[in-house]
Amino acid sequence: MKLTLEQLRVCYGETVALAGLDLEVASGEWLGLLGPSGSGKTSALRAIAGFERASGGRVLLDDDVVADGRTHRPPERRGVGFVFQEFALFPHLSAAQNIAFGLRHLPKDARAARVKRLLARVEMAEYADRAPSALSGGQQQRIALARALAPDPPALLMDEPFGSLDPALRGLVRERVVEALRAGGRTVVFISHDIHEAFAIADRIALLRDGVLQQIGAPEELYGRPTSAFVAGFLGPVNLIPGDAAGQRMSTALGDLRLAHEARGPRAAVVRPHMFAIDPGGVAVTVERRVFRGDRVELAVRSGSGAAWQVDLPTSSDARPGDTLRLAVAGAVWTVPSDGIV
Amino acid sequence: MFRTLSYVGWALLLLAGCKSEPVEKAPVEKAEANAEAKAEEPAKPGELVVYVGRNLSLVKPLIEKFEKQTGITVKTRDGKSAELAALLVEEGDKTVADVFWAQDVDSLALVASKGLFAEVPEGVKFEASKLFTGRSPHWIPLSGRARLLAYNPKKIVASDLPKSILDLADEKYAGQVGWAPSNASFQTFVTALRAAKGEAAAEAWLRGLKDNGAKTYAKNTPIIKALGAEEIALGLPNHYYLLRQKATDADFPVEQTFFADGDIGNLINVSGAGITKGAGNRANAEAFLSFLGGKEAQQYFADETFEYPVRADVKGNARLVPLADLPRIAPELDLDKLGDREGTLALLQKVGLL
Amino acid sequence: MNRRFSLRPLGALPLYLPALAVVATVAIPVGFVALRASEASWADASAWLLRSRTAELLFNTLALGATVVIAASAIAFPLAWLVTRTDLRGRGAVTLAAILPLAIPGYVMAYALRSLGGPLGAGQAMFGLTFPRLDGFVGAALALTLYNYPYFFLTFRAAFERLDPAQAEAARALGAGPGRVLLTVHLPRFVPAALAGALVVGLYVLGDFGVVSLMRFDTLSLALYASWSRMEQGSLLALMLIGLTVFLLLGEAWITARRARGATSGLGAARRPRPVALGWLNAPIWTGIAALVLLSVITPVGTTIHWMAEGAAHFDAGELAAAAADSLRAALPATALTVALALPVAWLARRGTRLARIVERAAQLGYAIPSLALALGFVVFALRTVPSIRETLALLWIAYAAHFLMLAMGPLRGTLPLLSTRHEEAARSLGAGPLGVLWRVTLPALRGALAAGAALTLLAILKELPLAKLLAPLDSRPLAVSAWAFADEALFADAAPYALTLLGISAFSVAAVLRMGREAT
Repeated sequence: MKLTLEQLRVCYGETVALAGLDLEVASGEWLGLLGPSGSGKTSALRAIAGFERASGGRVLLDDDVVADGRTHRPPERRGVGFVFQEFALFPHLSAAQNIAFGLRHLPKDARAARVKRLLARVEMAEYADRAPSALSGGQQQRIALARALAPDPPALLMDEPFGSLDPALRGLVRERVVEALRAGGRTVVFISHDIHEAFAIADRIALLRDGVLQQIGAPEELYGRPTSAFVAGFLGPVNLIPGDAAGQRMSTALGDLRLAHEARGPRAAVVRPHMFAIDPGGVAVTVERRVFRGDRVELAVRSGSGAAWQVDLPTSSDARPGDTLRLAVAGAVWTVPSDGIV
Repeated sequence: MFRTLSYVGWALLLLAGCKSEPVEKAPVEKAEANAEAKAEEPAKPGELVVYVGRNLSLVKPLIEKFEKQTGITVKTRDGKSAELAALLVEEGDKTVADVFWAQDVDSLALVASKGLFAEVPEGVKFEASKLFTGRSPHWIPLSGRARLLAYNPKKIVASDLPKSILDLADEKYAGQVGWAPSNASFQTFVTALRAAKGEAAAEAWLRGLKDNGAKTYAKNTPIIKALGAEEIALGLPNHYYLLRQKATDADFPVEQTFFADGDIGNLINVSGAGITKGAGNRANAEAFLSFLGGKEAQQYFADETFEYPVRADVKGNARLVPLADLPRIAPELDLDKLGDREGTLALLQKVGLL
Repeated sequence: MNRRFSLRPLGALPLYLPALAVVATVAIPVGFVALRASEASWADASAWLLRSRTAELLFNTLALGATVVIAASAIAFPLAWLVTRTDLRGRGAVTLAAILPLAIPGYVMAYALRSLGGPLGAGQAMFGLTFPRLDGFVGAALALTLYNYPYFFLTFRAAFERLDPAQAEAARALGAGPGRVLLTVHLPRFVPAALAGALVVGLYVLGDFGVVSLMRFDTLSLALYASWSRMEQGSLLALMLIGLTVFLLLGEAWITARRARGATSGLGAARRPRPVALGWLNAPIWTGIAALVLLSVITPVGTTIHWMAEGAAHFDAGELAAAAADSLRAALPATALTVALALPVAWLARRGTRLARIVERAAQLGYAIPSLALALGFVVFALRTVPSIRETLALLWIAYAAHFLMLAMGPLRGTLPLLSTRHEEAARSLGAGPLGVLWRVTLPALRGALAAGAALTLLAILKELPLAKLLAPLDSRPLAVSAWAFADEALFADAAPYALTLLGISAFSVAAVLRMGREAT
């Protein structure tokens, strides 16, 4: 199923949650919605499901307009599955009954068979008759997922599906869920606060801020070629090093950098901590702090001109606070407009 | 905001619709509607609707006897006389009641004063003792009930008993008296007191007794019980409560007596009944009143409820002071003056007893 | 812009119609009272309302209400804690004993307590102890406390069961002892439950007639009954009582509004904390509970049985059966109607719209209107609009629904917020329409609360007097009316079979309803 949002607006009283969002999710695609709290990602998801009314713009499922400023197709007639962050299992129904909830159209036998199959698929067969309150968080999550999948919706919306699982469980559950869902070939839109999670499972990521889409694209694109300082910063630790771009080159406190694209005027170079390397011809910096991370060493350094940077070096580095290092960036760097950088 | 307001608006409209419709109807239309409602509702032959302002269980055998004799089915609604009187007033001409049988004159007078009673036809009236006969053409007396003094001999010796009810305000009886200012029978007495001695004297007596620490009870029965429990020494009940108590417990340690002859404290009150103006079963209602005034029913009041029959030709209960002595004992009073409960309630409220 | 409340037309209508019906139903008697009160002359009215006696009555009423609310919650709170949070032996039996007083009519309680004292009292007869007969303020407060504390017990118990032990653990980890945890963590969480209980009990005390009359304690409602035949003044008093109620309701609303309602995101896994071990305390605690049960249950029930024995069973079984049938005919459909109205009203109330608040307040007002005024209001209304329902049970059912809606809503108010809107959304994303959600998710999940509301309503209706007396059809004499009619004439032996049957039916129906609710969980 293809999902299309055109200039979608969602308001709560005076508060604008979404200010005209355009988004297209191809059939079978996995889209991750990212953004800080209050950026409108939950509103977008709920508007697609039909839980929120659009106060402007349109929502299309395939070529079907299900919502515009005037009409609103109720959620039960949209055929879109939804997995809640808190799972929202019906407390008065057993695990199996929860899964069977959306299968009323099936004859009894077929329903029972499907419930059984789904329970097996999420490896919960022996918990069929348990009440939700007698299940652990991970088990509830699997039941919630099975419940959403039971009617075989062509699109599935997930609001922080793994958010309330403890980290130890999280990776494992996620892998299984993704595997199970990918097999169905259905369209998935999910919200995540975990950037690595989003990178791992999304085909594309849409980053929102204050109800406005900042950038959309493949994870690599957003990470490597952000269009703004905000996007660059949101997706991971970054040094935004201001400078004056002149075509293919830019002069900065880190020296003369080669650019990955043509640019002119004041820009900021996007230098991820891991892009630094020890270079005898590089800029001299003083190490101020060192944190051992196992696979790398994180350093806080300060240049002679007073600029502070975050630098990742291989574990083999034995740089200590007070040491002087010479650093350079290898290869071409990406830049973003320098406005909004303090 | 607008949405909410509009809902409230709808609610108000709905209400207005409900309330205003009947008021706007022309009186004639309304009367017709009533007649229709009446016609299609209770007028089945062989039925009678009685509002019973007395304790139903006490008079039920009598009603059943009437049903057996006449084949008429009697439907009842029972409650306190004052309650039912107020209900009748609110129901007005739309009431289903054919007969209102009350245990005090005030309630009958209230209903009569609103013009809700038809006159009792001559054929139904009977020769009642003069003591019980009022001049109202709207209701007939059915049984008599005397006010008197009940006391616990363990708490007070007979020689110390007051001669007049007015003496109870005396310091000698401080904290010893139990009364029931909210009780209808007591209120009828206050009405009589006002009629006999004047407003000022009645007020003075009420204040005197109140300041004297008289204990307030809800009604007659608790006064009798409190006397038995030695909470109080003296009480002001109707005459039959103690007799009923003694009928089940002969050793109950309470006695009762009249005040001196002619004292206002010996007031004789009556229960009675009238026929409503819109009675759908008028003939049955008349038959019922005739029955209650008949010898059999009168004998029942004497024997079973320990009241005074109102017919001179019926023998009273042996436990009672003979009917013949009552005219001597009772105060001189016009029963028709006992209708002013409004004034009595106002006085009781003024004194702070209600 | 204003799209906050996306009430889908199809889903909202079935909710709004009952809500509007409730507002209209309560408005009828209030309008009646106001109308009659307006017939009093202003000078007369002000002189009468401003006299010192009225102030005295007002003071008495408020003092009694406050005392009963405080005393009842003081009994109920530890009791609720004991049955939910400790290893007290026989918690089930204690729970039952703490609910039973609800089945006892107030006047039976008052009679029974009074019969304990005095030289002829049961205390003397059984233990040779003579103590003064209870009456006045103390007597009224005691009797009202003893059969009203179950309302607090029920709300507190529910609150204890919802309490998240994690908060207490967090407090303990921060160095707070059990006492401080109770005061700073638990007690604040009980404010809503306490308010709900206080509202039910306080309003009940405002309107009580039976107990205060037997205990000889003058209150506004007693004065109202006494002013019965002066309708204008009675109505003024009734207006005053209603005003007092509105004042209380506003107070409650003010307090509730100032506290953020505990946000609950879902039902999740309600973790049960380890029960507090009572150890040697079991014995003294049981002694205390036994004393409470002796006073609140055994005394009134024993008194009734004693009456019965005295009268040596000369009652008419046919009449008794007829009275029982009258009781059930009045109470069962009325309870069903009340609960059916309570659900949408409580539902709306949760949505927090202004209309919802109005409807909720209307339900509370309906509970607080003096029954006499309520009854007369309905009589007049029926006669002026649909005279044909005057002599049918339907009028009584409607009046009961208007009067007791608040009781039915109580447990729902507590439980609805726990049912997250996520559950509705989940159901809708799985293809259930608004009514389907109501039928398949909301109702089943609320079964316990609905059952509890039904039980409270049923008990209240079975015991109720003034409405039954004035609104029941001709010849209908429910158990409560029959029992009262006899007891009122001190014919206790005759009253006993009716009172006992009433107690039996009450206890049985409550057990049945509660079991129905429990099966769900």
